[in-house]
Amino acid sequence: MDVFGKRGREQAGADRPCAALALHDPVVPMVEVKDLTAGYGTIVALRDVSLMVNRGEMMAVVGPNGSGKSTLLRVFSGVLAPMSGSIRVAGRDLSAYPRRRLARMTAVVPQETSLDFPFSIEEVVLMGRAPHLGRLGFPGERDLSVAREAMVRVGVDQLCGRALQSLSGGERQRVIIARALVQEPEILLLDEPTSHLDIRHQVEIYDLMAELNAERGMTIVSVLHDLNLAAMYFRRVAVLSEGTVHSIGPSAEVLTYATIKAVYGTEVYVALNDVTGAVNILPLSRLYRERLRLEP
Amino acid sequence: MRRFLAFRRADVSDRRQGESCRRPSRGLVVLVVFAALGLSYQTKGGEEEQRPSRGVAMRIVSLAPSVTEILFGIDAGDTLVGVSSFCDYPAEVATIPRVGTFTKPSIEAILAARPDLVIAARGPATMNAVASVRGVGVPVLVIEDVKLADVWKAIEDIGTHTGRVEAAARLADQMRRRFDAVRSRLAGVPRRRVLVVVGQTPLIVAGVETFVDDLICVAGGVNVAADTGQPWPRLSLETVLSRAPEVIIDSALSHEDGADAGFWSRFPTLPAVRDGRVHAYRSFAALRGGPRLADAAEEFARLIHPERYGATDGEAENETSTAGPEQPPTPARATGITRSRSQAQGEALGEQ
Amino acid sequence: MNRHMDVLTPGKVLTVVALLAVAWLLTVVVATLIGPVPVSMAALLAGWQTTSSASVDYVIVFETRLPRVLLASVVGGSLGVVGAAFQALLRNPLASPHILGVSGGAAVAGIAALILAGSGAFHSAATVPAAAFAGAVVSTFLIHNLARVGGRVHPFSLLLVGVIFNAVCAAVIMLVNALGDFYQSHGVLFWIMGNLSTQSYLLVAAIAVYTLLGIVWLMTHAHHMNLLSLGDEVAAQLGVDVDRTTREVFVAAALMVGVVVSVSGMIGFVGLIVPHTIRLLLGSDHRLVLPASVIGGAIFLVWADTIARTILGPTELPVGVVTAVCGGPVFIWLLRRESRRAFR
Repeated sequence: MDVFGKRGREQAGADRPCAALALHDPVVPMVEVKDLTAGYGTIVALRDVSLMVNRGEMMAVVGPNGSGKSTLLRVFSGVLAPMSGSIRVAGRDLSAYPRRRLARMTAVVPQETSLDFPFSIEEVVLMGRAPHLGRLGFPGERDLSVAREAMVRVGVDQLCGRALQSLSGGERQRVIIARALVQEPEILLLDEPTSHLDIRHQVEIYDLMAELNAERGMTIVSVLHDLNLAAMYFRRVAVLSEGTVHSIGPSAEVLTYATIKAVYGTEVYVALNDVTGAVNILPLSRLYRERLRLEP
Repeated sequence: MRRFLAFRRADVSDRRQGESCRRPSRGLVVLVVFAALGLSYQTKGGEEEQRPSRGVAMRIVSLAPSVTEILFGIDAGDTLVGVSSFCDYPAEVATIPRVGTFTKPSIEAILAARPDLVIAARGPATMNAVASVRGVGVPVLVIEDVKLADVWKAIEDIGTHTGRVEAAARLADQMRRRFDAVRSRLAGVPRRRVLVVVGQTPLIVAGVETFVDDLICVAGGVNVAADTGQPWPRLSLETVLSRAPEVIIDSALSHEDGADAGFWSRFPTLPAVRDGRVHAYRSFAALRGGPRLADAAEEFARLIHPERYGATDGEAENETSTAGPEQPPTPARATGITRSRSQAQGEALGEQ
Repeated sequence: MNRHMDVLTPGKVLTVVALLAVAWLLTVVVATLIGPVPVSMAALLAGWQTTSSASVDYVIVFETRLPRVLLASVVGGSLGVVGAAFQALLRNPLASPHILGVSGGAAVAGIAALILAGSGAFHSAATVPAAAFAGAVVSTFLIHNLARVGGRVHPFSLLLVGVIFNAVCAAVIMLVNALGDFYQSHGVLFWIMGNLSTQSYLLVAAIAVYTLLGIVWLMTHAHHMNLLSLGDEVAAQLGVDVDRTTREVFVAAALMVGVVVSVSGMIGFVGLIVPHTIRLLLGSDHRLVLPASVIGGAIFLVWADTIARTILGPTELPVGVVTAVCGGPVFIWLLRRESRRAFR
């Protein structure tokens, strides 16, 4: 029994020869969902959803409240079992992956984290190493260096020794992202990671996402509310509406006045921004909505 | 209603003017009134001045086993129309209807029995019950039920209220004679150190101001737990060891255990264990202030001084003595127990 | 990296455990020498050499005090670690070993055995504790199954079922107390107030071995208990089988409580205060909190019992009173601290 985590010191890829082929094959999609229906008890939150996320892709999932975005992430991470339909990760059915194997492949950053007991940030970050460690979870040299690296990467290494609860929202989210990163995942799933953060921290975090995607080819799927951020950072956007995929594709094609009116039920001003190259979606007050109707 | 509303409005407007702190708040007044009511209710229960009339009672409800036994002892058993659920002696009691426990008597059951007198024993929990019964108009006689001296008064009072004064005097006399007989038979015999146990885990023993303590004294013993000053002290085991009791009377031992002293066999250095004087004793007779105290006194004497009383009871025969001849009594380490105290106690008991 | 990462290593755990163990040994030695009856060291040593007729001092120290101190250690250690485990299990720092109803079930079974034994049905010194343990096992089984919702045991339903179960058991105990005779009422006292008494060395050793097994079992779940703090979903996604962990920890801890309650009744506050104090001093990592709570619990209860059996002279206080008097104010202080943190 690997009690003291010696295994963690080895390269993480040691137990991946079988899936290695599929993981590095650019043709096989990273996550593939077919006719997926999922929900909680008698409530069906997703109905016959089919979509694909390619390896190394950054995809945003947007939609109004209750459209099933969080449910989709839960199915992706393996926490929620589908009622019907299939979900394959790297070519293999999700349920075929052993729990720890899946944890080494997929990492989740939830909306917010509140701890039942006070832990310091390095303890929290090291918790992300759990899928690589033995039963008692004691870290080895490699685990510590991975953790250090992740903390430097997200910029919280100066906060070592502080309790998680004592940090600001932005710092806390960054620590949680570091925790997700030390899992050394292929897929990073984020559930509205910046909803409670100010504009600077939002940008910081999505910049980080973009860097990770560029440097390591990490597949990133993020649920978010802010359509402008989605448009700016994510090449592909999936719009969910009432448990189904309304449209999916490049942000400029998907985030249109018509789509947003159909899905969200409100009128917005959509324009392509010459400087950034991304679409800008502006919510309009009633005054402007009426003015817009007069000018087609 | 209107005045209440007016008061409220004034309160609110006062607060707006910032004067509310000077006037005592309404909440405080209500609280004081409630407290006064509550206190008065409590003190009402404690009244004992109200004694029942001196007429002869023909229908009696007894709320304590000792009272029941006294009533049967003075031949007044046929006046009983209700007894507590703990009353179990003598056998005739089985046919008498129950009216609940002595802390929680059923007022309905008592009323249904149509008594002209209820007799209860004083205790911390019973006074509420007494107040309730008096509250429905039934007279209650409260007797003391703690130590031997109380029993004489109880017998006398019960005799007066049932018109059987002579029978009561005879009963009391009989009991006193039996006590004297025990005492005289044991006169001059050195007292033995006795421990009476009512519970093993936790270790609870009989202390002062109990019938058991008085019985020990009558039966030629000295109570090793007498200096604790409590009736049912929770004694530490090492204190027991240091006081080296020569006789242990234990109600927590079963009859099977009694043969090898069960719990106590772990301490063979205790004189009681060494000399085979650990006895199981489960009767309630020693706990109730009734006629059976005399039986208990004789039983205790038999247990404490078997040579004087003849070892004829079952427990003594079943025991395997670990030592043949009786060892000289080991001196007790605690000095709180002296002969003078037990002598004084004996004199007090001999008094009327 | 400017600042050094402060990480728990096996070496640190062993160091802390060793230090605490030394503190415990000292506690045992000192506590054995304290008691209402003064003993002289000379007589003690003399009695040690002559094995035959032991002096009273020898008997007091080695046959009444030492077994009791050792029992207090084992009981306190059990309660401490079970308290820590239940707090992790229920995700609530205010949980205690008796909160989940297993103790109540054990007490009811023990009292039933006491009453039946009193009427002469079957009786040996081991009947009541054995019945109590059987009651604990049955209660564990019942509570676990009642709390199962949709095939999973959720901590919230566990807590709810446990609290209600406890309330029912408490009512039954009160009923027995009200209806029982004089001797039976005293028996009931044992369960409610808890009682540490002198038991044989063999029994203490047996309980110690059983407790040790339980502690080792709980330790294998220590890391997962840490992960549960992040939330059920995150923990699941990190590879923890949340349901299985919940079940295994509950059953192990409940059986440990069962043994402890069978032998010493319900002693409160130990399982609540000790883990908290340990957490305040050593951090929340369960790989350290669990073993430290064992030894911390042992030291705490030994001292509480020493006070309970010494402070009133020849008579004793129930140990539950001492732990409550020490524990009550500490509990209130902790409560205020927790709520202040929650409202920050």
